[in-house]
Amino acid sequence: MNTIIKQAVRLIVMILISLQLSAEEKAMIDENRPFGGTSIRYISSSAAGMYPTDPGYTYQGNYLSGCRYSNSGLLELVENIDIPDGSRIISVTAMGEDMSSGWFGYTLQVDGQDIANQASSGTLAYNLMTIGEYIDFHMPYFSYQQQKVTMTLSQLGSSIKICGYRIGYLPPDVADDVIFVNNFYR
Amino acid sequence: MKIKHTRLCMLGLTVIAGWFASVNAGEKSFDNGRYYLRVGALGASPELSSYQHSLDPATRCVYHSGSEATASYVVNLHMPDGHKIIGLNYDFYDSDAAGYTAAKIIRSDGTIAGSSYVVAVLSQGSYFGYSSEYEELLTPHIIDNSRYQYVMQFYRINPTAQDDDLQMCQARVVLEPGP
Repeated sequence: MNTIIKQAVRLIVMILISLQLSAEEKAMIDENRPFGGTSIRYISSSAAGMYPTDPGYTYQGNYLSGCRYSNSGLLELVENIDIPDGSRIISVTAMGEDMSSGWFGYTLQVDGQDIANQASSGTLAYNLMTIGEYIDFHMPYFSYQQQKVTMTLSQLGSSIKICGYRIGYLPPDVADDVIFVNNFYR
Repeated sequence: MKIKHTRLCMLGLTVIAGWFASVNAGEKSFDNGRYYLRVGALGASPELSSYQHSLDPATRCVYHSGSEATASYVVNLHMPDGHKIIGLNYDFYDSDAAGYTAAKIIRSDGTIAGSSYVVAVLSQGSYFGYSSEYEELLTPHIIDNSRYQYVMQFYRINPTAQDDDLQMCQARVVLEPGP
């Protein structure tokens, strides 16, 4: 009888442990990119939908690929982004083509402060390429003031295209519970 | 005993009725589980910086006033991962028999080969006034921001139409929350 009770208790403990693991697994960042079951959210934008910071810029684009470029070799595109207060921004990626000694790059700003920036710097990639980084920035709760998140994509030099960007973030409900690792999809 | 049963039945019916009422109320407030993202053409960015476009102040609709035969204006769509695009509604002004305008959702990975239309709604031409068209997807499209960018493209074609005969007003994306 005692053996049966012991086995039953052991079984219950094992079930409880497995349930606990499941809960933790849910809280961990999934390396795979699909939606559902992962805590990461993404904001993606096409360069075709962004606005030039200077109306004097000339540019051409392709609405299908979303890429834009300037024959004059100088272009800056900007977009304001809605990211919930309390989120954690964890990755920034910009897409483009860099076929010259010039560069394309990005600057992510929160309240006018640089959070992340990088440039391709003459990579000579003849196809779509990405540049980016992992960051760990907590969006504070500032409901009483405007907390503007701005993404700027830039081009300097000819034969360069700016195609878009992607920002990974953790929404506020899980931002503090998630284990931060750098090996997820950027 | 009979009274007890009757009371129990009444109680059960009340609970069931209350549950139905609450479900219906929820559905009403969320339009049968669907919600909408409205995108005005007024905020769209021209594909080429040389495009000339104007605003009709009365309707807040936009029309292409340049000499190009075709023109497109693009707005980035930020929709939640995992939610589903069910359909697209397009409001427009069209008084030209030959030309038309369109609202199209494009999903792109940054390459032309990896880009495609999710749904497109055309003004169809010669409505002679304001109207709207709706297109529902046969298979709902699940949003994946990790791999794709989504844009709303307002498109206009017709080299002969008067500028303001073809106006792009508003698109409304019909969405359903994901799991």
